[in-house]
Amino acid sequence: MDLIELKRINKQYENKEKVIEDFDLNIQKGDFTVFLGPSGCGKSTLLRMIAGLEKISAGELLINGELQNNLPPKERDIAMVFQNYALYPHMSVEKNMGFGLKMRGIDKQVIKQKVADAAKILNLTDYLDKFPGNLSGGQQQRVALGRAIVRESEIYLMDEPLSNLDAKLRAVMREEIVTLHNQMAATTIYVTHDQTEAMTMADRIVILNHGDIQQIGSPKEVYQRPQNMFVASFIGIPPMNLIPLKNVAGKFYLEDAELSLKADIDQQLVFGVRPEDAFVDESAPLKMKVTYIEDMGADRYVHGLVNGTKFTLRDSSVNDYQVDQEIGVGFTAQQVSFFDQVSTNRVEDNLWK
Amino acid sequence: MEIKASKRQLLLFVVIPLLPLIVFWIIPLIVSLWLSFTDWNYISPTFNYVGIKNYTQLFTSQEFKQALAHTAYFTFFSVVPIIVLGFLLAVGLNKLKRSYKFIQALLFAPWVTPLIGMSIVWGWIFNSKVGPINQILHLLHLPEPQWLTNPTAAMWTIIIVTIWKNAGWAALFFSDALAKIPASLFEVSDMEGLSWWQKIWYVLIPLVSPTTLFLVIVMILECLQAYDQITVLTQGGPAGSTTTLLYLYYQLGFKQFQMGSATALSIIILVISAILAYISIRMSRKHTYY
Ligand SMILES: Nc1ncnc2c1ncn2[C@@H]1O[C@H](COP(=O)(O)OP(=O)(O)O)[C@@H](O)[C@H]1O
Ligand SMILES: [Mg+2]
Repeated sequence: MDLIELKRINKQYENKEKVIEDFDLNIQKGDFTVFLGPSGCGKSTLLRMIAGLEKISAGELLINGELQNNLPPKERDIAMVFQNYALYPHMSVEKNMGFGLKMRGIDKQVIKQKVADAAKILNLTDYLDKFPGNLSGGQQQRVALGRAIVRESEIYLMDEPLSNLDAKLRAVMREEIVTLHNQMAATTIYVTHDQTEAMTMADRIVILNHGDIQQIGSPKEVYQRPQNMFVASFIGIPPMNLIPLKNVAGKFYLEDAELSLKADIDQQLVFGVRPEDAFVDESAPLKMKVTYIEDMGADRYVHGLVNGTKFTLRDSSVNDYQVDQEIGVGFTAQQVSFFDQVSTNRVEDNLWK
Repeated sequence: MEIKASKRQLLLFVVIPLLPLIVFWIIPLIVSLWLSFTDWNYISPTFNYVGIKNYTQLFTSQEFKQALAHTAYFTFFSVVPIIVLGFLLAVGLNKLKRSYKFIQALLFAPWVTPLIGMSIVWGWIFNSKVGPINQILHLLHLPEPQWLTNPTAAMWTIIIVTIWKNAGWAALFFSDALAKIPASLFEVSDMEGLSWWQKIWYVLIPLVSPTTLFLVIVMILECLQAYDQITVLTQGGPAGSTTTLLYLYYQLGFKQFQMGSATALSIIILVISAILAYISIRMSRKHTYY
């Protein structure tokens, strides 16, 4: 059975237009689900409705099959980790971590033991009597995680918990959070706008834009088979190259080269290829004018213009390219995507004749 | 680079800003200290040095002991309600979404209105015959206290006026301190299932404690210096029941013309203020970790 069910959830803030409309999603026990989308798309709103911090305007939220809409946050078996850590500045690390249990009337000795156990997992044992103001950002975030895990909730919600940390620490914490999730056999919903976090941590990514689900899938699925042009251009650094095809009476042209496709005679198609699936091929009819070369060490990104449209390919050869040089671009037929220009959705069938 | 300040810079940036302090504070202080060892009577051109006689006389006099007790009573029963009321008003104020500015102005009004004038109004309000308070009590068939002429009631009249003047002002400080608490801390308390009074007790009160301490210090000093409401409403009476240290100072100096005793008392008030301020600062160091 699904642990969390969102059924036709709607959210409208006072006197504003709808942020979330008829949102449906089921989440299974033990999953690490990431809500990924640009800032302002409604990720936090969704998470806060699940937590009970924000009222659900319409629709049903079920946990373990039970309706949650009118339950206050404390009666939902949920722990939440906030972006700004939200630690009580006047309490020591130990007090902060144990406070929720204390308020639930748990025995002092039991709290002490649980906090000590969590501190051990999170490498916080030496900091238990310190105050949050004397800790680094990374340590504070660990305390916030510790406070969540001592609760031993079934569900963990995290709203951009790493975005206040520097890049190196983020990488470390990503791994720690996933390890914790697995150790606790928890069900986690993690909100982020950072696709690296989503790709590295998630079992399942829910890609959102303007409050709508664009695609749900494993990191591999959303990367390899983006369901629409938004996902194609949102996922991947750099993102997928997209070039509209010319349709001349049912014949499809990628610039001057005809592609032999079996599509409707009046269909408008967009051709997509990932930078790592394109390569330099001097004999190819598709030509790109080099504008910029980005050396990444092991390989490099060659950026350029294909008849005015931006195009990037990854190249690991020893060849040398000059800015303004014209190079031929090749790709393997099986590693490209096609989208319908009108609906922006992926055309699933194999279009090659 | 030249680090040491030149003499001219010293003069410009240190001495000049200090001038008002020297003229209006340090010099009078030294003069007071000096006068407190004399028997100057304010009028005659001559005086004698009497050593610490003014101080010993004060410390043994009934008047002084009573005024000290009145001051302690007045200060305690004014400051505690000001802080509690100010805090509660602020909690209410921060719950409001609309007409926030208007109520802020309303709370600030008693602080900026000259207390001399307002005390006259309060004198009428508390008038035992024509004042509205006793009129209402009369209608309700409740006992009608002699607000200004009964010794216990008179002290409480002064206390009520003092609370009225300061509670709104304290509320504005609390309101600001409350507004600075991040919303996520309250959300965490929601997730942890705190009731409203647990939120106040475990979150709000500790987080505004620096403001509370500041207000306690300022309000104690305010009470030690209370004068306007006493002089208008009771003139220290009846039977000296509202004579605080500062009012005693005024009586000694400007009614009885014992400038020596009066200045000795002013030095004592200053020392008491300094000790209280010192204790408060020590406490604030100990109790703020952030
Ligand atoms: N408390 C609120 N009142 C009114 N509008 C809000 C509130 N919180 C968020 N919004 C609006 O809802 C939309 C989604 O916000 P949010 O869920 O915070 O997005 P995200 O977390 O994806 O960045 C935004 O347009 C935002 O302006
Ligand atoms: Mg957000």
